This record gives sequence, structure tokens and C-alpha cells, in this order.
Amino acid sequence: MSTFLRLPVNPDEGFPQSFRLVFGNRSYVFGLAVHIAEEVLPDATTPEGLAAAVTLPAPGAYLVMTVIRDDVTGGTVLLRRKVIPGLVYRAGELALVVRSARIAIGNLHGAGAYRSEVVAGVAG
Amino acid sequence: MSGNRPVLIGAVPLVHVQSMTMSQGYRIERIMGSRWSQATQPTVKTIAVEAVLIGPKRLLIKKALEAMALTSRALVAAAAPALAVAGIPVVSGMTVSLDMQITDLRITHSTGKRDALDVSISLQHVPRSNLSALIGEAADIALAVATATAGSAPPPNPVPRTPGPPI
Repeated sequence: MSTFLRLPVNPDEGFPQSFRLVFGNRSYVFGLAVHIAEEVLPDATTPEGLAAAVTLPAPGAYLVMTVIRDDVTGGTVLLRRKVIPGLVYRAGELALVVRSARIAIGNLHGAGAYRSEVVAGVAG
Repeated sequence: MSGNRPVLIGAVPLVHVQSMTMSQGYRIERIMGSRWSQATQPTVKTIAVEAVLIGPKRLLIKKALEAMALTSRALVAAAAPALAVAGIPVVSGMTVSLDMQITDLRITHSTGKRDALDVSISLQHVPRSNLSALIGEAADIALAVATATAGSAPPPNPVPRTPGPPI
């Protein structure tokens, strides 16, 4: 298996987010959605404020990744999973891995630089 | 991408709903000889559903709707025990309304759609008790919360990105 190249996730755009990716002469649409139960949301009134972060996955909190191949038929869903860090997922001809996901509560349905970070890779 | 969730009229699933309108509000009465108006009481909630019945089971669904609309005396006996408890619940992505009754059921079969039936249903809220009305309102709010958590991703930017450096 070839090396994983970093997925161009821009956490400052907020979640859910989606972007197109050109990889191996094909176009894919990636979707990333974060679900966090209200009971496990960190407190926004601490000095950290909206930068208070959750490391995913955690009880009641997870990251869902969707991969759609952008073809003439309007898109083929290759993957829709709650992702676990370290596991390699096959999505059609792609291999995907998430190394870490740390989401600040300010980036839940909101854009801004709150030091959220998603390290994920794609390989052919 | 998600599945087609039907609108439930009682136990009848309507899969091909074309439109659904809910109207509700408060009745405002003008006091005669005065410039004051008075909000007197909530108006009756009504729901109008336009749907198409297709497929081999369309006549069965039509018969089930007719049973709930009590279109004949013979059907009253079949439907009455269930209706005595809570009327007809209407469950959709927009609302959970208990205690509804069908006031008008119009079924159209036309040359335009030979193997399909157009159905137009009007329902009116007939509350049996305050308790069931409250349960209906609470279910409505629960639905709103669940809908918010199951949001879908926004459309992607048309400009594609390329992968970054090795990780």
C-alpha cells in the first residue's frame, strides 16, 4: 500500500463540511459530520470558551465520514462510516485512515479558527 | 441520500406525498363598536396532504384511507375501536399530530396517470383531551430536536482540493 497523503480538511470551515478532492484523475466528494450529544459537550463558559475541544470518538461523540465518487450518474457512495482513528477503511479504490480528530465546539455548525484539527489520509 | 420516509396517516404510509400544508393559528375577534381586537381561542389545526398512490397496493391503500375517513357505514365498525382512543395520528418529517380526523378525501383517477391515483386528504384536529394534545405537542418538539441532529453536509465548493503531504 502506498503512503497516505493528508486529506485537505479545513477544520476552520466548521462541521459538517464537504469538499471535492481530485485524486488519481478522479473527483470525489468528501463529507465530514461531527455528532456530539448535548450531555457530553464541554462547557463553553470556561476561559477557553468556544475553543474547548472534544477528541473524537468519545462516548456520545463521533465523526462520520462520507465519500462519494463524483461520476456521471450523479455520484456513487463509497463509504459512510463513523470513523475510528488508526483503522484503514476501504472506499472503492481508495484507502482512508483518520489519525486523530479534535473538534472545538466553536466549529460545530460554525466557522472560525478554534484550533480544531483533523488528521486524515488518503491512498490509492 | 437518505431513504424516502413516508408520511403516516394513521397506520397507512403514503410514500409519494407531493405536498403537505398545515394551518393553525389564533382567532382574532373585533369587538363591535370599539377599536380593540381580542384573541379569543386557537383556531382548529388543519392539515392538507396531496399524494399519489402507485404500485400494486394502491387500491388497498385507498381502501385503508376510506376506512379511516369512514366513508361508509360498513367501514365504521372496522375503524371505530381504534379511533375511539386517539383519532388519527399524522406523523411526518414536519409534524406529529394526534387526534386528527379526515374531513375530506378526494381520489382522482385520470387519463394523465393511468396506473396511479391522486389523493387529496384534508384533516382537522379534534382533540379528545388536553393530555393527548400535550403529548402531540411534546412529540412535535422531540421531532424537531432529532431533525436538527441529523443534519446533512452542505454542498461542496466546486473548486476541487488536492491531497496534502504524506502523513
